[in-house]
Amino acid sequence: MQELVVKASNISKHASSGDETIQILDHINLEIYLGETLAVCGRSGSGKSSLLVILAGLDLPSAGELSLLGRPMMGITEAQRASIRRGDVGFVFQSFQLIPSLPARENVALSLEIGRGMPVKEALAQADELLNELGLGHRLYQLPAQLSGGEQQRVAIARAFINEPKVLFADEPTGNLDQNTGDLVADMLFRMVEHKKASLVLVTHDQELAARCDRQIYLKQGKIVEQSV
Amino acid sequence: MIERVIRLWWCDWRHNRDWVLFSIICFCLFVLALLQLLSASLKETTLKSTNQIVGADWVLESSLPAEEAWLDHALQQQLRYTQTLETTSVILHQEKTAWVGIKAVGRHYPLVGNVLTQSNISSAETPRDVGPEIGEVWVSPRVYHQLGLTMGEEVSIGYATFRLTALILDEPDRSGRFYDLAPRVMINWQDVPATRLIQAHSRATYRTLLVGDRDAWARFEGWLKPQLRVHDQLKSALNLRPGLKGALEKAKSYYDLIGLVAFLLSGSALMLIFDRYLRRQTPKISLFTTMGYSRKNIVKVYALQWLWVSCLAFFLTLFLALTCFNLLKSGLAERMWIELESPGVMPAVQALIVALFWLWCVGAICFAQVLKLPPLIMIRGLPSGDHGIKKSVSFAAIACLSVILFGGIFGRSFFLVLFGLLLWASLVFAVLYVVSRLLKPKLPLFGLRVRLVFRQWFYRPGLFFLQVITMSFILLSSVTIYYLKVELFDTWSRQMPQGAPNYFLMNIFDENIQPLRSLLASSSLKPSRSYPIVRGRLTKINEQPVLSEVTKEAQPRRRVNRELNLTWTHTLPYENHIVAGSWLTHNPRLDQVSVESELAERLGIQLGDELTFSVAAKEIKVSVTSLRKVEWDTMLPNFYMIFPPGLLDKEAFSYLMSLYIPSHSAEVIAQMAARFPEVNIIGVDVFLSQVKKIKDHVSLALEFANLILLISVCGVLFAAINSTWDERLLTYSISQLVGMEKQWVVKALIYEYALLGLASGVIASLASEGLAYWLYTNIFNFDWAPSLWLFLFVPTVSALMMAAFAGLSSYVLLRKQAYQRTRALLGR
Repeated sequence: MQELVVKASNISKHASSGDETIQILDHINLEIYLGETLAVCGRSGSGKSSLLVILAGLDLPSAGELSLLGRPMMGITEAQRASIRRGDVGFVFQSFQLIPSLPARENVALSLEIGRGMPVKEALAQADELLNELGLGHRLYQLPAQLSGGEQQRVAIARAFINEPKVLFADEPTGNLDQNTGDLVADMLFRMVEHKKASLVLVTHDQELAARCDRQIYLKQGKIVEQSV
Repeated sequence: MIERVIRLWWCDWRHNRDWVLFSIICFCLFVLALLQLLSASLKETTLKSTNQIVGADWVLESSLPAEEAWLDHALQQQLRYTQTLETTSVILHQEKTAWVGIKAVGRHYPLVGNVLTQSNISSAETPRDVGPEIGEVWVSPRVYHQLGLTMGEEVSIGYATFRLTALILDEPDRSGRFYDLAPRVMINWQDVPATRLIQAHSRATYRTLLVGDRDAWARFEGWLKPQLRVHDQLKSALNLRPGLKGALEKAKSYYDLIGLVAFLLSGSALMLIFDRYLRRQTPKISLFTTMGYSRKNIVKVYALQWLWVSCLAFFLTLFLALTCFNLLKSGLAERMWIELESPGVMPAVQALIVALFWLWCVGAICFAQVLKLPPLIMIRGLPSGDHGIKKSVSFAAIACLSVILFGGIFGRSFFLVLFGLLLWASLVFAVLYVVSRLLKPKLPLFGLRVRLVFRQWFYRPGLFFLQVITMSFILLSSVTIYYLKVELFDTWSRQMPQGAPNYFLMNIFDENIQPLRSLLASSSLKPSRSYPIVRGRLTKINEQPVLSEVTKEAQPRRRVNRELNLTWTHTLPYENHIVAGSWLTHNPRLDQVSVESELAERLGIQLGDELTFSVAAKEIKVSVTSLRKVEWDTMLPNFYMIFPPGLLDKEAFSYLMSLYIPSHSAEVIAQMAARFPEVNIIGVDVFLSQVKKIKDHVSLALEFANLILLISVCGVLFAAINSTWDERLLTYSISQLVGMEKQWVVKALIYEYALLGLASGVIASLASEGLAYWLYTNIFNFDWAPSLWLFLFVPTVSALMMAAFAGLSSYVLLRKQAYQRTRALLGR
C-alpha cells in the first residue's frame, strides 16, 4: 500500500474583514500519496495558495483535520509543526523567497543546517554539488539580487530538494519566469521529483504544467469543483 | 506635473503608509524646533533673572559722571537709565560716627528688581521700587545699631542733614565685591551736592544702569565705545556678579549642548528615515524608468513632492513647536519663580532650515544612487552593500558641509565638538569597515546562527555602520548629558550647601578674634576659618611696572591697580585647585606666592616670575611657585594672592571670616555691631537666596529640557532600530518557512540586536570619555576623572535594552504566520 503523505479532511478556512467573514476554503477533502504529483488549479482568489499553505503546515485551517507525513497537524505547537516541516517537506515559491543577505550556496545549505543539523562545511559542500548539478556552479557566491529570475528559482529548487523531502509544495514556481526559463525550471522540478521519488503539490495557472501532474484539482470560491486524473 | 505630484503623494500617503514616515519626520523636526526654542528661552530667561538681581541689563562704570550727551543718546535709542554714585564717608548722629558706604541713587532707581527695606527694625521686609526721597536717608541695620538710631531721627553726612525713613537690607545692584563693602547708607542723587562729599579728586564710583532692547543696546554700545574715557567701563549684568557668572555660564553651555544634541539626533533620525523611504520608493522609481519616464522628470516629480512635504512639515512643526512652547510657558509659569522669556520664532526657524537642508542633501545623495541603478535591479532589490558605504561617506561629507554652514548657531566650542564627533564617526566607520573586510572570508566557517547574526553587517555594511554609529551616538549623548547634569547639580550644591556662609566679617583685629569667636559660640554659631589680611599693591612683574601696562585696552588689569587683599596660610583653601607648580608647603622658601590662575593669565604671570608688592610702604619680592584655579561661585573668602606664613605677618593685619547666621539668631548681628564696632559685617543672605532661586529655576528648566531630549532619544532609537528591521525579519521569516523554529528565530533576533547594542555601547563608552574630558576641561570647567564603571555599564545596558526591544518586537510580529509575513515583507 502506498504511503499517505497528506490527508485533509473537511478543512475550511475563513478570515474576518471588519464585520464580514470571508470563506477562503470550504470543506476540502484531499489525500496525497508518496510519489504522486498533484496540480491545484483555479482562478486568482479561488484559494489555491491558501490550500497549499495549509497542506504544508505553514498555516492552520479554521476547521477540519489535517495530517502531514502521517502526523496530525492540529492541536500541536508551532515548534512541533516546524519539526515536521524541517526534514521531509520542501517548498518552492513564486517569488523565490531566498534570503537576500546570503549567497546562493548558503541559501541552499541553510536547509541542511536547519533540517538535518549538518555542520556548515559539509552542508556547503553538498549545496555546491547540487547547484553544480543544476547548472549554477558559476553562481555559488552570488547574492539573490545578483541572479536572474530563473537562476533564483533554481537555487530555490536546490534548497527545497537538498534535504530529499518526501513532499514538495510549489506555489506558481514558474509564475515569475518567461516561457523558456519557466519550461526549464519546470523540467528540472519534475525531474527532481521523479528522481527523489517525492510527492509534489503544485499550484499553477498554467494548464500545460498542470497536465504534467498525475492528478489535477480545480478550486472555485474555496471548494473543489473538479478533479481529473 | 503638479497634479501628478500631488496624486502620487496622496497615493503613497494612503496606501504606502507614507503618513507614518511623515509623522516621524515631523516628530523629529518638532522636537528639534521645541528644544531650540526652549534652549533660547532658557538662556534669555536666565540672563533676565540675573539682570533682575543685578538691577540692570548693562552698566557703565566710571570714576567720573557719564556725559549728558551719552544719556540723551541712550534715551533716543529707547534705553532707560538711572545713575548711582558710591563713595565712602562718615555718618554722624549726635556724638556717634560710623564709617559707611554711601550710595546716591537717581530717579527711576531701581530700574529692575526691588530695594529690600524695613520701615522699622522689627517690621517685615518690604520691597520698594523707588529710592529715598530728597532729604531722606536709608541705613543698614548695622549702622542703625551702631549709631543707636530710631526712625525719623536726623543724621548728618558731610554738610547735609537727612531724616531716617527706612532700613535698607539689600539693593539689586549691590556690588559683588563683598570685601570692599562698608555698611550701606542710601540717599537721593539730588542731595549729593549739598553734602559736598564729591570734590575734584574724591574716590567715587559712578554707575549708569541701563535696560532695554538688545538691538537698541547694540546700536548704543557701537556709538558709545569710541567715545569712552580711560576710566569708563561697560559691563554686562553677569560681570557684576562674579559669584553667579560661572554657574550661569555653565547652564548656558548646557542649554547649547542640549540644542546641539537635539540637532544631531534629529539629523541621524532623518537620515535613517529617508533611507528607508527611498528603499520603499525604489520599485516605483524603477517602474517609471521602465515606462520610459526620463530621469530628469523623475527628479522633478520627487523634488516637487519633497518641496511640498518640506513646506508642509516646516509650517506644521513650526506651528506645533510654538504652540507647545507657549503652553509650556504658561504651564511652567506657576512652578517657576520667573516667567519664561519668549525667544521669538527665529531659533525654531533656524533649526528647521538646518534640518531640512540636511534632509535634502541626504535625499539627493540617496536619490542619485537609486537613479544610477538599472531598472530591473531596482525592482528586484539593491544588489549589494557597497552603495551603503558610498552613501555613508557622502552623508559624512554633507554633515561636514552642514557643520561649516550652520556651526555658528552653536558657537565655536560646540563647532569643535561637532567636528570631533564627525572625526569619531569616521574612525568608527573605518574600523568597522576594516574588521568586516577581515572577517568576511572567515564567515562561512561558522554555524548558521553566527552567520545569520553577522550577515547584516556584510550584506549592507554601509547601513549597518550607520546604524551602529547612530545608536552609539544616541548612547554617547545620553550618557554625556546625564553626566554633565549630575556634575552641574553636584557642583552647585557643593558650592552652596545648606548652611552656606551668609555673612562676612572683615576688619577683625587680632585681639578681637577670640572674644568674637566666644560671642558666636555662645549663640551656637560656628564661623569659618579666619584669614589674616594685609592690604598691598602689585607693583612690578619681573621688574616691569604693572601700572605702565594698564591701558584702556587692558581693562581687566585694572584689578591690580586697586589694593589687593593679601593673605597667608599653609592650607589650600576649599575649592582651590593647583593647576601649575606646587602648593606653598612643598617649598621651604618664604619669598613665594600662589597666584589665582585667571589673573595670572590676564597679567601674563608664569611660574617662576618675580612679583613685587608694595605693603605698608615696603617692597616685598616673591617668586610665583603655583597657580591656583579658584571657584569664585562658592561664596567663600577667596584670594588672588596667597603667601606662606612668616612673610607678611609682621605687618599690621586684620582677619576675615565668614559664617552662617540663621534668621532666628539675627540678634547676634546687633550684639557684634555693638561690641565690635570696627568689624565690618557684610550680609549676603538676600543675594544668596536670589542666587539659589536662580539655580533652582535653572535646575528645573534643565530637567525639563532633558525630558524632551529623552523623548527625542527614544524617537531616534526607534528609527535607528527600525531602519533594518524589515530585512532582518525577512531573513528569519524565510528561515522559518524552511523549518526554523519560532523560538530559534526569536533567539537569533535577540542575539543580533544584543550584539548591535553591545557594539554601540562599547563605542559609545569609549567616545563618551573623550567627549566628557573635552567638555569638562574646555567648556564646563569641571574636574574630569575617567569613569571605569561606564565601560561596563553602558555596553551592558545597551545590549540588554536592544535585546529586550528585539524580544518584544519579535514576540508581537512573529504571531503572524511566517508565510503571510514573508509575502507581506516582499510586498507580494
